[in-house]
Amino acid sequence: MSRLASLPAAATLLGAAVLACAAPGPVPIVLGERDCDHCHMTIADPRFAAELVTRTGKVYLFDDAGCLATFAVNGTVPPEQVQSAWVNDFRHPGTLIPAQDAAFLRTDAVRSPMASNLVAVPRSAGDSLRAALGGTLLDWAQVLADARAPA
Amino acid sequence: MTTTVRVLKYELHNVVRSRAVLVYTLFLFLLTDVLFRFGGEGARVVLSLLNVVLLFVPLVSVVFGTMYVYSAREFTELLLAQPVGRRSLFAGLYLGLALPLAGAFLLGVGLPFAIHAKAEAALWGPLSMLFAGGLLLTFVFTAVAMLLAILFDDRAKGLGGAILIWLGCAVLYDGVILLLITMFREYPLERPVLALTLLNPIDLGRVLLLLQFDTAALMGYTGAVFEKFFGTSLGRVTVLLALAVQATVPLLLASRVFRRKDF
Amino acid sequence: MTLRAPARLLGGLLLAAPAALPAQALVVVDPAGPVRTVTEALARVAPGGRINVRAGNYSEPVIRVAVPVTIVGDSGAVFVGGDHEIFVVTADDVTFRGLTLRHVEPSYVEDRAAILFDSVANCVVEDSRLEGTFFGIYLSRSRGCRISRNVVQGTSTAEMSAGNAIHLFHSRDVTVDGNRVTGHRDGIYLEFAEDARVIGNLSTGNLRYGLHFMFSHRCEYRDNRFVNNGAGVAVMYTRSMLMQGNTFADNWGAASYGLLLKEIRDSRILGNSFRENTVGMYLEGSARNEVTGNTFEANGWAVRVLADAEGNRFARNVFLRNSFDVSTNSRSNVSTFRGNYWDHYEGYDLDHDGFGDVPFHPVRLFSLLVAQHEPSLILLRSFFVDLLDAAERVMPVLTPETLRDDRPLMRVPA
Repeated sequence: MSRLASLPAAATLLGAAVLACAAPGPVPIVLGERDCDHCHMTIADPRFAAELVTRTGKVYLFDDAGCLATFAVNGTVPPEQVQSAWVNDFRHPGTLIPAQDAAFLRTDAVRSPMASNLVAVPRSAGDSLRAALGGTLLDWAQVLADARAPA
Repeated sequence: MTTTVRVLKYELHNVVRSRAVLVYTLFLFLLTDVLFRFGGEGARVVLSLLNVVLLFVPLVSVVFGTMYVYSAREFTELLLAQPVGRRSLFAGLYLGLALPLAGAFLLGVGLPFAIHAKAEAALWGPLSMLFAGGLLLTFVFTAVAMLLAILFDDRAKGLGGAILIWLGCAVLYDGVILLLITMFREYPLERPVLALTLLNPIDLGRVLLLLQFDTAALMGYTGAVFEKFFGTSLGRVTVLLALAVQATVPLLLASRVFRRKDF
Repeated sequence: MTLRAPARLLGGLLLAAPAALPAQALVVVDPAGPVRTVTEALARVAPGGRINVRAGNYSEPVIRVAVPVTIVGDSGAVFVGGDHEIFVVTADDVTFRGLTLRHVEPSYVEDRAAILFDSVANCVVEDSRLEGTFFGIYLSRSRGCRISRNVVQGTSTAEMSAGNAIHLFHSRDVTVDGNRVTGHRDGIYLEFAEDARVIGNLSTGNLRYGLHFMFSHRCEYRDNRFVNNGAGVAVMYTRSMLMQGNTFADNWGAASYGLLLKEIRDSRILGNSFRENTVGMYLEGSARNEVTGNTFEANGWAVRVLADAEGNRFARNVFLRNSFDVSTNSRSNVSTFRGNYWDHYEGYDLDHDGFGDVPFHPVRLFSLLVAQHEPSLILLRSFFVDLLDAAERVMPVLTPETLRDDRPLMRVPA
């Protein structure tokens, strides 16, 4: 009896716990284990993997920065619900950098999983990467704008 | 201690002779046997037994247990008139109830396996989990039965409570989980759901058993989170702790009430 | 006859003094011979000629093949790479046969392959072995090629970036047949490839896909086996495909499926076998595809079809021992199921026409819940969920009413 009676209490507690301990942040990506939340391809290349974290602490994973951008603008998660977006440092796969602080190079020298051919590095490394690979440098806002109005 | 043993002996004698336990054993035996004859190999039989163990074992434990403690009421009162420690009397009562039921489960399910199953290494994991689950559920729900039967003098109330608790754990609880999942869909729910599962012995048994099979893959990313959690030593300790709490809390409560009760 | 001996003598002289002498139809490369490297042999061989590589280990800088030539290895002829490609081919009509190629180091920047064909026609790689190469055989902007009976064995692990065993990029009219590919990111990857044929290959143990098509129209793949890959086959943004007689098996894992179809139009999926995959077939944004005569056996979810898939037709398929037959994410549905065999069907056939008299609803409420709220997977095999399913079956309120088979087969079709 007591167990049943305590159910709503437990549920409330749980809800509170979720809200409280959700310090939203990115999670490490294990290759070959998850699908991209936009294109549903298996995430298998650490260089291009990306994440989107909501204010409620839910983490969406992507195999391509292009998928992240498309997902971010297509409204599945409303913009005001987005807490942060993360991309892998192309030169150090496994190191996540905030999308806002990244420089994106759209280049034909590299093939990304969903053919966006976007690679990300910390902003300070953008110019040297463009010098090495060629292509166009973009910032996150431009990448989002491109995703909104595809060429 | 000797009192416990003496009460236990008497109880064992009594319970084992009772027709209900015999029917319970026979039912489990026939069911498992039939599953073997129709389903074939061991692992699939274990999977088919899953819902039987998860539903039937708690139901029988809690309902039969409650009824039994009520029927032993006069005998208990008689003994209480003697210079007998209430603590040992209580222990004797509980063990005298739980052990025969556990034995019936072991025998009823175990015998067909001994007869039909080939000794494969792959079977040990699921099979030991099946037995562990069945035994633990027996101990948890007989403890609940003790608590109910001692708490309520009115038999109808006690029995009603028993069925309600069973219904709550076996059915309603999952409904609540589902409700929470739809209500809090915007939150990462893998971990909270895991925590909720730990609180209900039937759910815990179900998930632990499912993880023994390759159907675990059907549970997708949520299942993967579980597998990882139960794979760590922290996870295993937590599970054991959860089960221990589920068995001992009602038992301690019952013992407390029993010692203070004015019969 | 009289000329022959002097000719042979002349040949010997040529070998001794290579410079400025006419090209030869056959050059032999031998670790102990006068010609010790393929690079050297390529400088001597006549266009359309042949280079025969004797047994031995060859480690050369990138070998650039710029003339039509056939390079044949004796057994034991092994090329060892390093941090670069082994062969880069820029000429038409180049054939590789019977070579062993080993060790091309991974690169984060370039898609380094053991053999790279760049803008060529009519190339052939056959009966060769590739071991531990980052990318195996890479065709870029090429056409009319054939890749046959090779073994491409990688060493991919989840920690490291892996390349693809056979990779086609912007290529046309290519045949890939009888190869065995394993241990790569994708076994066979076609990106912007058209009119390709992928036939009778075995693709196993790859990190991502056994076979992968992106923007590759009018291709066909038949009689291949895709076993135990991260996922079996992904076909994306493609039209007019033929997928026939393939086996998709043991793609078992949290995020695994036999066949993923995304934005696929006007394609045919015929007579394939889907066995023991977490999800047999997954359709998203796909339209007007014909799914006929396939067998779905012992999968977790046999078919997952999202609501945005339109006008797909499922007929004469066989569903056996799947945990869930069809799953969808919405109450609306525009795909048709007609005349399939479902082992979960419990109806009857009073008029003995071979079709059940009551329709079969293959979507269970639980699979709908899961598609909408993934964490509810934790209630798998819960009694409560079984009760819900039973109630929904009696009176459907959430599952799509139109997703049903009005003519379920009573027997497995022959």
